[in-house]
Parts: sequence; C-alpha cells; structure tokens
Amino acid sequence: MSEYKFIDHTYDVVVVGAGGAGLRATFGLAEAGLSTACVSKVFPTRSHTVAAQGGISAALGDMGDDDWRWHMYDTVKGSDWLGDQDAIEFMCKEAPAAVIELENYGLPFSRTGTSAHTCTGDGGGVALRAGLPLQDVEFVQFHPTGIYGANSLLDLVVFGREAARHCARVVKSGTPHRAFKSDSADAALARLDKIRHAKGSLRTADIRLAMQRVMQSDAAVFRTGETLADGRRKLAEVFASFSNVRVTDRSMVWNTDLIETLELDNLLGQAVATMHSAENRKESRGAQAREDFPNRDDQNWLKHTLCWVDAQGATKFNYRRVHLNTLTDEVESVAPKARTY
Amino acid sequence: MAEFTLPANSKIRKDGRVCKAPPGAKNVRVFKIYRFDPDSTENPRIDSYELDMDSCGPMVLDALIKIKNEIDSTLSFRRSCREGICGSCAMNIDGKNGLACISACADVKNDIRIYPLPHLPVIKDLVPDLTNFYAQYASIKPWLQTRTPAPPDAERLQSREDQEKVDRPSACILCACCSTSCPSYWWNSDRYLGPAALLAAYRWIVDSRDDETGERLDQLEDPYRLYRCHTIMNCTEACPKDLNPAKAIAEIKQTLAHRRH
Repeated sequence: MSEYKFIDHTYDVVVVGAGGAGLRATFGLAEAGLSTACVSKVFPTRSHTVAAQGGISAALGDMGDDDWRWHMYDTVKGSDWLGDQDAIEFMCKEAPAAVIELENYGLPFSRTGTSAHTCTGDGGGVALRAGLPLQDVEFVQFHPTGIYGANSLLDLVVFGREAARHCARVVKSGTPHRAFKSDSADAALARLDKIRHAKGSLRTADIRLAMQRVMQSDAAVFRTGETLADGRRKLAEVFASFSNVRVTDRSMVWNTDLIETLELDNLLGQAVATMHSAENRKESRGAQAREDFPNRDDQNWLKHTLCWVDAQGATKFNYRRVHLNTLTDEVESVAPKARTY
Repeated sequence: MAEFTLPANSKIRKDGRVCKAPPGAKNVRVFKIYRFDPDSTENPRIDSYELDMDSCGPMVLDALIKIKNEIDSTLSFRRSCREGICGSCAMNIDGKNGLACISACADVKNDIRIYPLPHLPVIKDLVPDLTNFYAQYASIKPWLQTRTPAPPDAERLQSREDQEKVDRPSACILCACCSTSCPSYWWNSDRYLGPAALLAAYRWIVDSRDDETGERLDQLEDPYRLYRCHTIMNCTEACPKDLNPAKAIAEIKQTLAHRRH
C-alpha cells in the first residue's frame, strides 16, 4: 500500500456529497463558523439535484390560502402512512422559512430532468459496508415513477439546513477528534487496491447490465413473490460474479474504469437490499405494488424495514416502528385510512 | 525570424488503435476519438472505433458509452444526466462544441471526430481541466449581494418583467461550450473572463434584487476581463441551451458606456 500517498486534512465537519442537502448543510456549517469540507465525486452543479422535476413545495401562502398542516396531510397520505409524522411535521413547518431563505440567497427556481449515470447508491454502499442497515429500500422507485418530486427537494433543503444547525449546537469549532486507529483507512484502501488490480474475466459493464436486467424484470413496478424469489436467485449469481470482475485501467488519474467498478460494488449491495426487502414485505403500499398481496396490511406491515447486506450478499432484517405521533401538539396525527385520490 | 514552441504533448500522433466493426455489421460508422494518457510520456493519439449503429443508441454519448462498455473501458469522459441538464459531457464533436448526450450521430456526416473542449489543459482523453473556468465563474461572485435586509419571512419580490430578465441567463449549466469556442478566450483565458462567466455576471447585474450592481460593473471595466470580447459570436452559436452570451456581453458594454456619459 506504500504506493498510495496520503495527505491528512482536519475539519470540524465533513459533508459527503454536494447535492442540495450537502450544499445546504455546508453553507449552514460555514455560516456557523465551523471549518467544513464538502466532498463530492462530481462538480456540484453536475449533481442530481439540478435534474429534479416539479419544483419545491412549501406552504408559503403567497398564492392563496395555504397551511403547512395541509402540506403535512398530503405528505403523510403520499407516504401511504409509512412516513414518520414527527419528521413530516418538522419538514412541512420549516418549509416556508427554508425556501424563503433560498430565495433570499438569490437561488433561481427552475430546470427539468431524471435519473443520472452518477446516481449509483454510493451512500447506501458505504452504509452497508459499515455494517449499517438500509431502511425501506423496497420503495426505491424506478424512473420515471423518479417520488413526489417537490417534496424530495424540500426534504434535502430542510434536513440539510437542520443537519448544519444540529452540528452548530453540538460541535465546538477546533475541538480535536478522537485519534483514529492507525489502521482506520486500511479496509477502504484494501478495497480500492483490490478492485483497481482486479484481473477477472468479466467486464464491469457486463455485470452491471446483468444486474439491471434482473432488477428490471424481477423487481419491476408490479411484483409477485414468485418474480421476487426468482430475482433473488438471479441477483445472487450476479452479486457473486463481481469477485470475477476485471478492471483494465490501472492508472491513478481520472480512472473511470475503476470508479465505475467501485460504483457497481455499491449498486450491487443496494440491489440486493431492494430485491430482498421487496420480497420480504408481503403487502402493497405506496411504491411497492405486490400483485400477490394487493392490499395494504397495517396489522402486520405498518413498520419500517431495516435491511443489512453482508459482504457475501446475505441479508438480515429488522424493523422500526413508524412514528404516527407528531412532533408537537400544533397538529394532530393523521390516522391511517385507505388511500384514494 | 520568430520561433514558436508548441506546448508539450500537443502534437497528435496519427498511429492510434483501430478497432474494426464486428463481422456482419451492416450499419457501420467510424468514431475517431482523441486519446491522451497522462501516465505515459507519449503524445496524444487518435483511436478509430467502428461501431454497428444497429446496436447503438442515437446520441454521441451512447456511442462513447458503448465503446467504454464493450471495447475499451479505459476511455475516459465525463457524463451524468444524459439529457442536457448537468453539463458534464461537453466536448468537441465534428469540430463544434456541444453536449454528447444531446448530439445525434446522424447529424454528423462522414467520420465522427470527438476531441476534448479546445484550448484547455487535458487531464485524460476527453476530460479537460476546468479549474480556471470554475475560478472565473467564482470571481464574478455568483450570488445575491444585498445591503438592505430581506423583508421578514418573505421573498424579495420582483415584477414579472424583472424576473424574466434573469430567467434565461440563470439556465446556464456551466458546460464551458461557449467559452472554449471563443478565439479571444483561447488566447487570453488567463485574463479574459470568457462568455460563460460574463453571462453569469450579467445575470446578477440585471437582477433587480441585487444591490452591488455598480461594484459588479467596476470589476468588469477592464481591458481584458470584459473587453477582450470582439463580438465573434461563437459563444452564442455553441450554446447547447440556446442562450445568448454575446448579447449579454454587449449589454454589459452598453451599460458601462451609458454609465460613463
């Protein structure tokens, strides 16, 4: 590993990703006087936030009567009651201030678009390797079904802003970190080095295409236990085939062959979590449409899925309760009922 | 007699790789692509790839991805949204700057020649170094500068007309097609801001909510930063978003002229 040279940097806070949430957090952190690094794999204006459709929603009340409580109701209903209502209350209540703030910074509001080549589930991959579960990934949507878009932009602005506020409350500028263990970077470096020198017989693009085909045919919008079980078996083969990947470009400058292969590793973990979670959730709710379980089943499935994926592609499940409680008494909880539009 | 020395690695070798189309391919097109490997001491070369267009998408980016996926995974280029909104895949296609994702192969006659954006240092293959370009964008302070506080809990309202003035120039995606098509920028990119940064400057100069208009104009009143624009108009011709940087620059010059008199 001695061929890799390191430069250590020290910051109060490191933000990973320069999409809307990351940039909003970074801005707030810098404003709070914390030394902040924002790390991104693309130049910020290339991030996927620029392609979001449908604007950003907030109950500003400037286009007629509006109230954040109605926005909250729409959002809870839109989530088919799987959204945590304390978080939704927070988001909708903070929305007007967060959006007006953006306007005051001079942000222009418009542009259209969809899922990009750089959206490769890297955050999910990092979480899985750290032994953390992914939540509710059975609801990962395929373009262009792409969520209530106006809320996804709001989500990242409100929670990016709040992440900065939270850090400003708990982090004192200049406070040293606990010392890292001397081997703290070894696992990440070993992964990079192994993939960079991968000498297998399968091209990255071929494994990726195989994965895409399985996901498209067996984790499609309409799913059954049969297609999902079939998909699980096929995906296991694709996952295993990654150990036989080949990287041709061994260079250290702008090596997109290496990057795409690291991204594929991330994608595979997410694909497994999505397929297994979809098979595991035996009901239809929101974006999960099971033809063999056409109805929502609040009795058994009004709960969040937590899915762990280990290095061999094996999954483990646990659950979190849905927060049907609100954050404050300024609004009442929206009780589950059949969703009709 | 004056002697000129070309920068290192600027001469292109003609003896690049040739990858033949698969046997039986009926709809073959040739892609001639600039390759540069920063790790080698060799000069750049042009590789030729013959593709069967019956199994390739219609856009130049589709062809590049096909080459990377199926023939040569070392080919390096930027790409992301594949629909003309992120600005990543700007390059020189058939002698014109454009976005590979929205440039149709069918619009190019004969061989499809693909080079990096002109007159920028090349990092690798089709990936240019945009450091100076981004620094120039940052230099025009592309954010709202105000002296008056914002109204409490409300937007700084604009008339529809005022909003429309900033609407189009705000649609710039910083792809650099315009600046790197400009001969003035080629010769003086160290001091001339170029059309992309000037379009951005214009967008804030005409924003009715901004209080630093005078300072913004002061910053541009310079023989190089602004006045190296000689109305060549390549910028407007190159813009894949149909924006008009040349007109924006002309309006800045006009505003400065009015201010002097």
